[in-house]
Amino acid sequence: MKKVSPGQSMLAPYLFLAPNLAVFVIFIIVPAGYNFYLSLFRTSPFRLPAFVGADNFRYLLQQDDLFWRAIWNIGIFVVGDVTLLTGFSVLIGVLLNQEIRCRGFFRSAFFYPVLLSPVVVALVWQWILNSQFGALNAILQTVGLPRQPWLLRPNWGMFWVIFVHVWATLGFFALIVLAGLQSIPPALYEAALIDGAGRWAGFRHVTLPLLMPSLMVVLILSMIRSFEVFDHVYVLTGGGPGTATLMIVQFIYRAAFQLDQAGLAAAASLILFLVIFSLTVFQYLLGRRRETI
Amino acid sequence: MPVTSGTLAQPTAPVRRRRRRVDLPTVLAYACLVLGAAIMFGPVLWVVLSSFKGLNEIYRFPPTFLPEQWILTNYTGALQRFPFLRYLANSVTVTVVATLLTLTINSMAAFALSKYVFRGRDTIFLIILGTLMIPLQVIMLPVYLIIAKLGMANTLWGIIIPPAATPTGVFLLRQYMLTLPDELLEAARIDGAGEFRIYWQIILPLTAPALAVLTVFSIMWRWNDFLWPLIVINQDRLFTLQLGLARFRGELVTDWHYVLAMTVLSIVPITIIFGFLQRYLVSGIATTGLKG
Repeated sequence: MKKVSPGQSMLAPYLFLAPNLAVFVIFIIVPAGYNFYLSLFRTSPFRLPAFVGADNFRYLLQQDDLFWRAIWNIGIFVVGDVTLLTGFSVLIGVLLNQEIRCRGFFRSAFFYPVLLSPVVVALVWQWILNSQFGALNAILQTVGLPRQPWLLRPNWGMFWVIFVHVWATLGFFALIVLAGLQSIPPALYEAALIDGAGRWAGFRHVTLPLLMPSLMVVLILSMIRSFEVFDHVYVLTGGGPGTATLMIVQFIYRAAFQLDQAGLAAAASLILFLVIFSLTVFQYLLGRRRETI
Repeated sequence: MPVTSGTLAQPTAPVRRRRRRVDLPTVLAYACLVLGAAIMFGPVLWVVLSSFKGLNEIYRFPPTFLPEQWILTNYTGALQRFPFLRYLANSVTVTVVATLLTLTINSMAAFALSKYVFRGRDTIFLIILGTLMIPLQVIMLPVYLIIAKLGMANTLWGIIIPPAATPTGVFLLRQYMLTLPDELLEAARIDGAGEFRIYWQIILPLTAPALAVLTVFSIMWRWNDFLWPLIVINQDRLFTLQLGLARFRGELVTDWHYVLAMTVLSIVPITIIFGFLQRYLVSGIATTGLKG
């Protein structure tokens, strides 16, 4: 702990903090409390807000089919997204860590989609997946498979929403894995090699255990981010066809800004917050345990 | 389905100082990389190629790969028919002002938290870190209601201010400033420098590497932001590029030739910036797990 240095002004630190803290309080802390307050009221365009206690939560959990639809959708999305992201980020991280030619080019290529905005990503894939003029259907036809209206079929819609989100964020997670791999000292592999371990054994018994911390970061971060997904899906499918790809944030957006159901939106937000909160606490605890070992 | 073919590769441990030889795993590794790069890079390349094709060539099935004739009318037409330049100006304004604001207030807060001892310091720092758990998606309605009360709905300030006090930025800069020796401040104080001058002329220049990382990320966050502008803005003249692009899709599903040209134009700036600042981005993600 530092001492107060002799010439330090007592007021200065508070003045330096003030602007940042003001924005924090007005646009994060106050809204968080406000959100809780809103979740206890029922609003409608025709009446004044009425206090209803936990009714909004009860309604969401017991009667609102669309809410459960969104929960179901986000469940599938998170499982698919996190599994693919974790698996492929390890594969690509390991490949990019090899002594290969054109390594810089490959790294840039895998990282490039991370730069693109979700809107651009969705438009690019809409063009690829276009049922009439899309490149994917053209490829399928040349190999003799039937063309598909990809984004108009519920199951394919979910598949492509996951695929496109993985495509757009994979580079970010591969980079975290790559950084983890590069922190493993080469001497360990040489020792394993001397002990007669093959490449697979080296990966299984040296790389993987030492990569666990990075993998946990990938796992939790990708989970939090896929629970929060909105932009990619909203532009790619708009939550459709029907409600087949309607995710939880779009449910909140819809209730808050399109249907004037502030109470329900706030209650659903609170449920989403609890999920993200527990994941973050989980991540923190894991990090702590690692440090003490 | 191109994804599955990636799983064929044997993950191989990197063994340095070993003789390069051509064996099956190496061939598979290259095959995976080339296929993967094609999947990651191909779609954007395809959109760029399509954007230079004539109308009848765009809507032809099966499509041609390279344009038979490279034409620019998609671009000129899109610029004439849509207020692209206005959207661009709005996006540039939001990105530049928001990034300057973020850098200023985050670095001031980081300076206070790293170089002063005062009551409540650790509590304030913990609260700032704690807000990482409250993403905008969770509080968008109340934040919008506050914005509306303050008269900032449908203004660029409404987009700029609420996400400006990023906890990641404060954290990143604070960690960097902690490594700067405190003797610098004491020496400056003995020489009679004021507190603001110490911040502005001594600490900020020394924090340049961390500021660079935060700048790159802030530019990316703001340039690509969609959900928050979508909520704040509902007037066409205030649309950012992302809002403009997303709306073309809804209104003009048949006007793909314009949408393609717009899409390409919108990714040119970020691609150029990436070319110059790639290492800051990469080091930012690798060392701090900053959200890309």
